[in-house]
Amino acid sequence: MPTPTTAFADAAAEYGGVDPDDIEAVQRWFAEELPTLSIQIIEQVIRDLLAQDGAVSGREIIPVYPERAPLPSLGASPAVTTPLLAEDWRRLLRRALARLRR
Amino acid sequence: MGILRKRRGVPFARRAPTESGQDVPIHIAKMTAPHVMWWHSHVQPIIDRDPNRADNGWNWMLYVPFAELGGRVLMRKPVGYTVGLSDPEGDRFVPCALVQLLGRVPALDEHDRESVFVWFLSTAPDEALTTIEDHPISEDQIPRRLGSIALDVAVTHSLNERRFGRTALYADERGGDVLLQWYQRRGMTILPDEDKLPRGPRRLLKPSDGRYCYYTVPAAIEASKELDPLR
Repeated sequence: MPTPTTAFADAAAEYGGVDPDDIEAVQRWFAEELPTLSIQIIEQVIRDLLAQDGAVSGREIIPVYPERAPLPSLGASPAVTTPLLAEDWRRLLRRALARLRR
Repeated sequence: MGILRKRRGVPFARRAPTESGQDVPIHIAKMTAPHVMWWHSHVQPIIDRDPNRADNGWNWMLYVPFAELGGRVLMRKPVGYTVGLSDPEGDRFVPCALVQLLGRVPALDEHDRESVFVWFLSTAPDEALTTIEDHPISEDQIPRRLGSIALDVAVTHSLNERRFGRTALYADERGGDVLLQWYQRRGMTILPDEDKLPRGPRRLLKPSDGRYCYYTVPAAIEASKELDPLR
Protein backbone atom coordinates (compact mmCIF):
# COMPACT_ATOMS: atom_id res chain seq x y z
CA MET A 1 0.00 0.00 0.00
CA PRO A 2 1.52 3.33 -0.95
CA THR A 3 1.63 6.38 1.28
CA PRO A 4 -2.00 7.28 2.09
CA THR A 5 -3.54 10.32 0.43
CA THR A 6 -4.13 11.84 3.87
CA ALA A 7 -0.35 11.98 4.40
CA PHE A 8 0.02 14.00 1.19
CA ALA A 9 -2.78 16.31 2.37
CA ASP A 10 -1.15 16.75 5.79
CA ALA A 11 2.20 17.57 4.17
CA ALA A 12 0.57 20.16 1.87
CA ALA A 13 -1.18 21.68 4.91
CA GLU A 14 1.98 21.78 7.03
CA TYR A 15 4.43 23.06 4.42
CA GLY A 16 2.10 24.97 2.10
CA GLY A 17 -0.82 26.10 4.25
CA VAL A 18 -3.21 24.23 1.95
CA ASP A 19 -6.65 23.07 3.17
CA PRO A 20 -6.05 19.32 3.69
CA ASP A 21 -9.67 18.52 2.82
CA ASP A 22 -9.36 20.14 -0.60
CA ILE A 23 -7.71 17.33 -2.54
CA GLU A 24 -7.54 19.33 -5.77
CA ALA A 25 -5.61 22.10 -3.97
CA VAL A 26 -3.32 19.42 -2.49
CA GLN A 27 -2.68 17.97 -5.97
CA ARG A 28 -1.95 21.45 -7.35
CA TRP A 29 0.46 22.16 -4.50
CA PHE A 30 2.45 18.99 -5.19
CA ALA A 31 2.56 19.62 -8.94
CA GLU A 32 3.17 23.36 -8.96
CA GLU A 33 4.29 24.74 -5.58
CA LEU A 34 6.45 22.08 -3.99
CA PRO A 35 9.02 22.01 -6.84
CA THR A 36 9.62 25.75 -6.30
CA LEU A 37 10.42 25.42 -2.58
CA SER A 38 13.88 25.04 -1.08
CA ILE A 39 15.65 21.72 -1.38
CA GLN A 40 15.55 21.32 2.42
CA ILE A 41 11.75 21.55 2.49
CA ILE A 42 11.41 19.22 -0.50
CA GLU A 43 13.65 16.66 1.20
CA GLN A 44 11.69 16.93 4.43
CA VAL A 45 8.36 16.45 2.62
CA ILE A 46 9.74 13.43 0.80
CA ARG A 47 11.08 11.88 3.98
CA ASP A 48 7.76 12.49 5.77
CA LEU A 49 5.88 10.78 2.96
CA LEU A 50 8.29 7.87 2.57
CA ALA A 51 8.04 7.30 6.32
CA GLN A 52 4.32 6.69 5.90
CA ASP A 53 4.65 4.25 3.01
CA GLY A 54 2.26 1.42 3.80
CA ALA A 55 0.64 3.24 6.73
CA VAL A 56 -3.10 2.98 7.22
CA SER A 57 -4.86 6.27 7.72
CA GLY A 58 -7.69 6.65 10.22
CA ARG A 59 -9.47 9.23 8.12
CA GLU A 60 -10.53 9.36 4.52
CA ILE A 61 -10.36 11.99 1.82
CA ILE A 62 -13.08 11.81 -0.77
CA PRO A 63 -11.39 11.69 -4.19
CA VAL A 64 -12.30 14.32 -6.76
CA TYR A 65 -12.04 13.17 -10.35
CA PRO A 66 -11.55 15.75 -13.11
CA GLU A 67 -14.65 15.80 -15.29
CA ARG A 68 -14.37 14.58 -18.88
CA ALA A 69 -10.64 15.08 -19.32
CA PRO A 70 -9.93 14.66 -23.06
CA LEU A 71 -8.09 11.65 -24.42
CA PRO A 72 -4.38 12.49 -24.82
CA SER A 73 -3.23 13.30 -28.32
CA LEU A 74 -1.10 10.75 -30.14
CA GLY A 75 1.15 13.49 -31.52
CA ALA A 76 2.08 14.54 -28.00
CA SER A 77 2.69 10.91 -26.94
CA PRO A 78 5.43 9.66 -29.26
CA ALA A 79 6.57 6.06 -28.85
CA VAL A 80 9.79 5.68 -26.88
CA THR A 81 12.62 4.68 -29.16
CA THR A 82 15.19 2.00 -28.38
CA PRO A 83 18.52 3.53 -27.40
CA LEU A 84 21.71 2.51 -29.14
CA LEU A 85 23.85 0.42 -26.81
CA ALA A 86 27.37 -0.91 -27.15
CA GLU A 87 26.70 -3.67 -29.71
CA ASP A 88 24.60 -1.40 -31.90
CA TRP A 89 27.36 1.20 -31.99
CA ARG A 90 29.88 -1.47 -32.87
CA ARG A 91 27.68 -2.68 -35.73
CA LEU A 92 27.21 0.86 -37.01
CA LEU A 93 30.94 1.52 -36.86
CA ARG A 94 31.70 -1.76 -38.64
CA ARG A 95 29.21 -0.86 -41.39
CA ALA A 96 30.64 2.65 -41.74
CA LEU A 97 34.20 1.31 -41.95
CA ALA A 98 33.17 -1.29 -44.52
CA ARG A 99 31.57 1.45 -46.63
CA LEU A 100 34.69 3.58 -46.43
CA ARG A 101 36.87 0.66 -47.51
CA ARG A 102 34.73 0.10 -50.65
CA MET B 1 21.02 -14.11 -27.13
CA GLY B 2 21.32 -13.22 -23.45
CA ILE B 3 24.62 -11.41 -23.98
CA LEU B 4 23.25 -9.56 -26.99
CA ARG B 5 20.17 -8.57 -25.00
CA LYS B 6 22.41 -7.07 -22.33
CA ARG B 7 24.53 -5.19 -24.86
CA ARG B 8 21.96 -4.12 -27.42
CA GLY B 9 18.85 -2.09 -26.90
CA VAL B 10 15.63 -4.07 -26.55
CA PRO B 11 12.52 -2.62 -28.22
CA PHE B 12 9.39 -2.19 -26.13
CA ALA B 13 6.30 -4.27 -26.91
CA ARG B 14 4.50 -3.04 -30.03
CA ARG B 15 1.38 -5.19 -29.95
CA ALA B 16 -0.87 -6.96 -27.49
CA PRO B 17 -3.04 -10.04 -27.91
CA THR B 18 -6.82 -9.73 -27.88
CA GLU B 19 -9.74 -12.11 -27.51
CA SER B 20 -10.41 -11.79 -31.23
CA GLY B 21 -7.17 -13.69 -31.82
CA GLN B 22 -5.60 -10.76 -33.64
CA ASP B 23 -3.01 -8.56 -31.98
CA VAL B 24 -3.67 -4.84 -31.58
CA PRO B 25 -0.89 -2.29 -32.04
CA ILE B 26 0.15 -0.60 -28.82
CA HIS B 27 2.86 1.84 -28.08
CA ILE B 28 4.83 2.87 -25.05
CA ALA B 29 5.23 6.61 -24.47
CA LYS B 30 6.84 8.65 -21.73
CA MET B 31 4.12 9.43 -19.19
CA THR B 32 2.80 12.98 -19.49
CA ALA B 33 0.36 15.13 -17.49
CA PRO B 34 -2.53 14.60 -19.98
CA HIS B 35 -2.13 10.81 -19.62
CA VAL B 36 -2.37 11.08 -15.83
CA MET B 37 -5.24 13.57 -15.99
CA TRP B 38 -7.26 11.32 -18.30
CA TRP B 39 -6.49 8.30 -16.11
CA HIS B 40 -7.66 10.08 -12.97
CA SER B 41 -10.76 11.33 -14.75
CA HIS B 42 -11.84 8.14 -16.47
CA VAL B 43 -9.96 5.03 -15.27
CA GLN B 44 -9.35 5.60 -11.54
CA PRO B 45 -13.08 6.08 -10.70
CA ILE B 46 -13.74 2.60 -12.12
CA ILE B 47 -10.78 1.10 -10.22
CA ASP B 48 -12.02 2.78 -7.04
CA ARG B 49 -15.32 0.91 -7.30
CA ASP B 50 -13.48 -2.41 -6.91
CA PRO B 51 -12.24 -2.80 -3.31
CA ASN B 52 -10.33 -5.96 -4.23
CA ARG B 53 -7.86 -4.18 -6.48
CA ALA B 54 -4.46 -3.33 -5.00
CA ASP B 55 -4.59 0.06 -6.76
CA ASN B 56 -7.99 0.98 -5.30
CA GLY B 57 -7.78 4.52 -3.92
CA TRP B 58 -4.54 5.40 -5.70
CA ASN B 59 -4.02 8.99 -6.76
CA TRP B 60 -1.63 9.28 -9.69
CA MET B 61 -2.09 13.06 -9.65
CA LEU B 62 -0.09 12.97 -6.40
CA TYR B 63 2.20 10.00 -7.06
CA VAL B 64 3.70 11.30 -10.30
CA PRO B 65 4.93 14.69 -9.00
CA PHE B 66 6.01 12.98 -5.77
CA ALA B 67 7.96 10.27 -7.58
CA GLU B 68 9.47 12.72 -10.06
CA LEU B 69 10.56 15.18 -7.41
CA GLY B 70 11.56 12.58 -4.81
CA GLY B 71 13.42 10.54 -7.39
CA ARG B 72 15.36 13.57 -8.57
CA VAL B 73 16.23 14.80 -5.07
CA LEU B 74 17.37 11.32 -4.06
CA MET B 75 19.16 10.89 -7.42
CA ARG B 76 17.10 7.84 -8.34
CA LYS B 77 16.50 8.74 -12.02
CA PRO B 78 12.68 8.62 -11.98
CA VAL B 79 10.83 7.87 -15.22
CA GLY B 80 7.19 7.22 -16.03
CA TYR B 81 5.81 5.26 -18.98
CA THR B 82 2.32 4.88 -20.41
CA VAL B 83 1.25 1.78 -22.33
CA GLY B 84 -1.49 2.77 -24.73
CA LEU B 85 -3.50 2.11 -27.86
CA SER B 86 -2.84 4.52 -30.68
CA ASP B 87 -5.43 5.93 -33.04
CA PRO B 88 -3.42 7.74 -35.74
CA GLU B 89 -6.54 8.79 -37.70
CA GLY B 90 -8.12 10.55 -34.74
CA ASP B 91 -4.74 11.61 -33.25
CA ARG B 92 -5.71 9.91 -30.01
CA PHE B 93 -3.74 7.85 -27.53
CA VAL B 94 -5.66 5.65 -25.09
CA PRO B 95 -3.65 4.95 -21.90
CA CYS B 96 -4.12 1.31 -20.84
CA ALA B 97 -1.40 1.04 -18.15
CA LEU B 98 0.80 3.43 -16.20
CA VAL B 99 4.23 2.54 -14.84
CA GLN B 100 6.29 4.81 -12.57
CA LEU B 101 9.89 3.68 -12.15
CA LEU B 102 12.99 4.69 -10.29
CA GLY B 103 15.84 4.01 -12.68
CA ARG B 104 18.70 3.82 -10.22
CA VAL B 105 18.40 2.02 -6.89
CA PRO B 106 20.70 -0.60 -5.32
CA ALA B 107 19.73 -4.12 -6.40
CA LEU B 108 18.03 -6.28 -3.77
CA ASP B 109 20.21 -9.33 -4.45
CA GLU B 110 23.56 -7.61 -5.11
CA HIS B 111 23.64 -4.37 -3.14
CA ASP B 112 26.64 -3.00 -5.01
CA ARG B 113 24.80 -3.26 -8.36
CA GLU B 114 22.14 -0.92 -9.68
CA SER B 115 18.58 -1.87 -10.44
CA VAL B 116 15.29 -0.40 -11.60
CA PHE B 117 12.51 -0.17 -9.01
CA VAL B 118 8.82 -0.28 -9.98
CA TRP B 119 7.23 2.27 -7.68
CA PHE B 120 3.69 2.27 -9.10
CA LEU B 121 2.11 0.08 -11.74
CA SER B 122 -1.54 0.05 -12.71
CA THR B 123 -3.55 -1.45 -15.58
CA ALA B 124 -6.95 -0.29 -16.82
CA PRO B 125 -9.92 -2.55 -16.11
CA ASP B 126 -11.85 -3.64 -19.23
CA GLU B 127 -14.79 -1.43 -18.31
CA ALA B 128 -12.57 1.66 -18.48
CA LEU B 129 -11.69 0.89 -22.10
CA THR B 130 -15.16 -0.10 -23.31
CA THR B 131 -16.83 3.03 -21.91
CA ILE B 132 -14.68 5.80 -23.41
CA GLU B 133 -16.98 8.51 -24.69
CA ASP B 134 -16.63 8.93 -28.48
CA HIS B 135 -13.97 6.20 -28.61
CA PRO B 136 -15.20 2.97 -26.99
CA ILE B 137 -13.06 -0.10 -27.56
CA SER B 138 -14.95 -3.29 -28.33
CA GLU B 139 -14.55 -6.21 -25.94
CA ASP B 140 -12.67 -8.33 -28.47
CA GLN B 141 -10.18 -5.52 -29.18
CA ILE B 142 -9.17 -4.91 -25.57
CA PRO B 143 -5.43 -5.51 -25.19
CA ARG B 144 -4.68 -8.53 -22.98
CA ARG B 145 -1.59 -9.30 -20.89
CA LEU B 146 -1.38 -5.64 -19.88
CA GLY B 147 0.17 -6.56 -16.52
CA SER B 148 2.93 -8.58 -18.18
CA ILE B 149 3.51 -5.86 -20.77
CA ALA B 150 3.70 -3.17 -18.07
CA LEU B 151 6.18 -5.24 -16.07
CA ASP B 152 8.16 -5.81 -19.26
CA VAL B 153 8.37 -2.02 -19.67
CA ALA B 154 10.36 -1.96 -16.42
CA VAL B 155 12.60 -4.85 -17.48
CA THR B 156 13.17 -3.30 -20.92
CA HIS B 157 14.05 0.02 -19.31
CA SER B 158 16.48 -1.84 -17.07
CA LEU B 159 18.10 -3.62 -20.03
CA ASN B 160 18.33 -0.41 -22.05
CA GLU B 161 19.75 1.62 -19.14
CA ARG B 162 22.54 -0.84 -18.37
CA ARG B 163 20.88 -2.31 -15.32
CA PHE B 164 21.01 -5.65 -17.20
CA GLY B 165 17.37 -6.43 -16.45
CA ARG B 166 17.67 -6.07 -12.68
CA THR B 167 14.23 -4.92 -11.58
CA ALA B 168 12.61 -4.87 -8.15
CA LEU B 169 9.28 -3.96 -6.67
CA TYR B 170 7.17 -4.22 -3.56
CA ALA B 171 4.01 -6.30 -3.98
CA ASP B 172 1.23 -4.30 -2.33
CA GLU B 173 -0.14 -6.02 0.76
CA ARG B 174 -3.68 -5.65 -0.55
CA GLY B 175 -2.78 -7.94 -3.44
CA GLY B 176 -2.18 -10.75 -0.91
CA ASP B 177 -0.64 -14.06 -1.93
CA VAL B 178 -2.31 -13.90 -5.34
CA LEU B 179 -0.22 -10.88 -6.35
CA LEU B 180 2.99 -12.40 -4.96
CA GLN B 181 2.34 -15.61 -6.90
CA TRP B 182 1.64 -13.60 -10.05
CA TYR B 183 5.08 -11.96 -9.82
CA GLN B 184 6.66 -15.34 -9.10
CA ARG B 185 5.03 -16.79 -12.21
CA ARG B 186 6.61 -13.93 -14.19
CA GLY B 187 10.00 -15.22 -12.97
CA MET B 188 10.62 -12.90 -10.04
CA THR B 189 12.26 -14.03 -6.80
CA ILE B 190 10.81 -13.07 -3.43
CA LEU B 191 13.32 -11.55 -1.03
CA PRO B 192 13.10 -13.55 2.22
CA ASP B 193 11.78 -11.41 5.08
CA GLU B 194 14.95 -11.99 7.12
CA ASP B 195 17.14 -10.50 4.37
CA LYS B 196 18.19 -6.88 4.71
CA LEU B 197 17.38 -4.29 2.09
CA PRO B 198 20.27 -2.28 0.64
CA ARG B 199 21.28 0.84 2.57
CA GLY B 200 18.80 3.67 2.07
CA PRO B 201 15.56 5.05 3.47
CA ARG B 202 13.59 1.91 2.62
CA ARG B 203 15.75 -0.31 4.85
CA LEU B 204 14.54 1.74 7.79
CA LEU B 205 11.10 2.85 6.68
CA LYS B 206 9.83 -0.22 4.86
CA PRO B 207 12.06 -3.15 5.77
CA SER B 208 11.97 -6.53 4.11
CA ASP B 209 8.79 -8.40 5.01
CA GLY B 210 8.61 -11.09 2.37
CA ARG B 211 6.86 -8.91 -0.22
CA TYR B 212 9.84 -7.45 -2.08
CA CYS B 213 10.35 -9.18 -5.42
CA TYR B 214 13.22 -8.90 -7.87
CA TYR B 215 14.55 -10.17 -11.16
CA THR B 216 18.03 -11.61 -11.25
CA VAL B 217 19.84 -10.92 -14.53
CA PRO B 218 19.18 -14.40 -16.04
CA ALA B 219 15.52 -14.36 -14.90
CA ALA B 220 14.99 -10.90 -16.40
CA ILE B 221 16.45 -12.03 -19.71
CA GLU B 222 14.18 -15.08 -19.74
CA ALA B 223 11.15 -12.93 -18.93
CA SER B 224 12.13 -10.47 -21.64
CA LYS B 225 12.47 -13.25 -24.23
CA GLU B 226 9.01 -14.48 -23.37
CA LEU B 227 7.51 -11.25 -24.66
CA ASP B 228 9.57 -11.17 -27.87
CA PRO B 229 6.59 -12.17 -30.06
CA LEU B 230 4.93 -8.90 -29.00
CA ARG B 231 7.89 -6.61 -29.85
